[in-house]
Amino acid sequence: MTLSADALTKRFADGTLAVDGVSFTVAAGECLAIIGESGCGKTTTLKMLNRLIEPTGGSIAFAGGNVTALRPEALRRRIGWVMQGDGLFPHMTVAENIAVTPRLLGWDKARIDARVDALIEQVRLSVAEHRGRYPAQLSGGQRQRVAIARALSVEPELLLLDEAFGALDPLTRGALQSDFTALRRELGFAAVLVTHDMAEALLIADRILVMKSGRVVRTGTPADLLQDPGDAYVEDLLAMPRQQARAIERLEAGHA
Amino acid sequence: MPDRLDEAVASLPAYLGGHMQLVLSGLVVSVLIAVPLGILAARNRTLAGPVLGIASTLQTIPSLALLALMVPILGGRIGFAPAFIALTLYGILPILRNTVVGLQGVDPVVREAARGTGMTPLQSLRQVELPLALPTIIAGLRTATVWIVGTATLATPVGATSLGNYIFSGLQTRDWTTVVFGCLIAAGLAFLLDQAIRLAELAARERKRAPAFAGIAIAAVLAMGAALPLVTGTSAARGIGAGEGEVMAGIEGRTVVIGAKGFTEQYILAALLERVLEDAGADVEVRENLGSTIAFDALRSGEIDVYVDYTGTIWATVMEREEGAGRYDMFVRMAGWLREEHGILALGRLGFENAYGYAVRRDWAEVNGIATIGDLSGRSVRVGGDPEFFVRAEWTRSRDAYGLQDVRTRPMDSTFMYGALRDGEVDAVSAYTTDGRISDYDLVVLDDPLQILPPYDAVMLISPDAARNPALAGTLSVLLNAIPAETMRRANAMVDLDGATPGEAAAWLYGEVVVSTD
Repeated sequence: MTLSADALTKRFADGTLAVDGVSFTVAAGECLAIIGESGCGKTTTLKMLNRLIEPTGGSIAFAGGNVTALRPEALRRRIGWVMQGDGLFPHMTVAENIAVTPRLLGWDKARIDARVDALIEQVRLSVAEHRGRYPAQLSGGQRQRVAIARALSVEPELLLLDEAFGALDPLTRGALQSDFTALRRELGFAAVLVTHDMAEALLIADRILVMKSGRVVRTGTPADLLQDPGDAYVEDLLAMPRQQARAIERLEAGHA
Repeated sequence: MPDRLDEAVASLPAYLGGHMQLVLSGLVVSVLIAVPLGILAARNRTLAGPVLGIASTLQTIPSLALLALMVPILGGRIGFAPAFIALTLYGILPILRNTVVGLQGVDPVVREAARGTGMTPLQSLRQVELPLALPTIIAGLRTATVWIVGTATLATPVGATSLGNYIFSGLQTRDWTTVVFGCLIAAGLAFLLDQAIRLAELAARERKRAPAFAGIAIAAVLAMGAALPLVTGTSAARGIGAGEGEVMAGIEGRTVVIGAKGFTEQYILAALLERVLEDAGADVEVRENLGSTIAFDALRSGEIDVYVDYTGTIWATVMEREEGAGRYDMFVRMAGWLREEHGILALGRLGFENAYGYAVRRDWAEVNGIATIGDLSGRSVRVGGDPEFFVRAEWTRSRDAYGLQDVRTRPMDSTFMYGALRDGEVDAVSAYTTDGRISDYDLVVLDDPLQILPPYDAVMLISPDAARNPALAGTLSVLLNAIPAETMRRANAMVDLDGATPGEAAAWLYGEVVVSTD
């Protein structure tokens, strides 16, 4: 077991109950998608996992220990973090962005350089072309690839992704999603991925956790959910990708 | 003209060096205060409001007033300290404001990314937020630099040596070569410092060496400029008695600091006192261009040992007396009050008075039949005068006594008022009765039958510390009652009309009043 969250709760200072008793586990190498509409508490849940937001109730175990046993910074250096809108440091080159966490951990220069080059190749960028560029000189898809490389810099067991592919055009998003799945298979890290896009969850997650108003309404594999939504809300979330898939099928049949 | 330029160039090491010392120390301390304060304020919004509010309020105080206010706040200290503090306060706002704005302008996504990659708050500040805010902070630093270089020229009236010495002296003696020279040097300095900072920033951002070297080279040259006064040995000394408790005797080999306010007569008298004291073997230093009340504060605190003031000024401005008094009565009461209240020794009268008087053109007076101040009553005349005059009691009292309510006042620098009167831009001015231009421009001083305008006898005042050394008073007593008004007027005219330097006029005056009495 890589991660387990038990009765995770967050009540903000203004009294809003954003997350209300959420429990789940993530096995080694597994990809869990948390899905729900805006304001359902999915991003708050994700940020509690690496203590960007401190929970007001419940507990989180990571790699066999309670996360509160570590300093928050030390915890975050062990967990990869990819955020919406890439979050790259605009004043640092691609190589410097990827090297941030290794430098915080005090790696020597040769080890950092080798690691940076390997990661640039792994996310399908070119060392020769992209290593010394600044984020502003890259496309949106390239920036998100650098963000994933940065999150993987210290070979974490767990990656957290907050709407990581949300801001990209559909073609780029598709390429990045399949590359991400391939990378996960190759490197074997576990991932928790927050998204509001059911199609994305169905395509790249091993398991899906559906949240509504701060609570878990359904957990299951993509196949489980498609066979038995078990809840009107989950049904609604599945309706759109299903309709789209059927419409495309009909169009293709009509042309044939 | 070439003489004037030569003289200006000769003073350059001292003036530029003094200016650089003020600017560099003011800037460094501004940064040391403003950047940490800005970082705190950017992180704490409840702090940001008051901090920026206070800094902005300081900025709205006119720079000359802020400089002058520092003198009484520091208990009468003049010179580097009050100027340095005022310039530092002045430099804080642009740096502080830009630090806050720059840090608050960092994208929240980037700040969260810094936390998400495992940076501590301090690491986030140093590696992400400050580098991203740096261009904005540097822009604030450049603004502060240009402001401080300009404002430092106003440090002259509080007794700090700066490029303002050219401007203030040149303005008072109508020596435009010197004024323009001072302005050009100050502008050049602002430009060079601004470029040095720009190049250093460019080098830091682009990680290039060439601009870094250029920036460092400019900074090094400027720092050497700041060290000039140390090399040439013109660093400021305190007064003769400062910090020494024992009664001293003798004057030979001692350093005496002479003060002077910022107008021609004061420059000449300071140079005359200097000559007399040097004859007695003293080392003399002159602090010119002091503001009117600043000179008195500096004397009281022992920053200067001696200067010449005027009975009416002390009476109205320092003693804050509303009522008038006769010439001798005023002197005796003033001397007693100064000795009792402040320990200041009023050595005695130089023999002339430099009073305020209403001067008009002779032809205009004859055509309009005007002989006394009261004859101006009921006419819509324009009266020019130095700004100090119109806040003094003699203006309000003469206005009320002679019915001058319809008069339109036009405050202006005293340098320009005689020319304005001659050219018909004003009809009367609050003239200084010893000014050489009164006879040269064919002006007449109107009678004051009600004796509203008080006497302004020139008197030598000696600081409490220096008064313990009888040799100083003894040496200067050669000047008592030695200078008739006509002689002083001629010395002033040499400078204001004939283009002589104050030193040359003082040499002539020395020949007239000291040598002839020997």
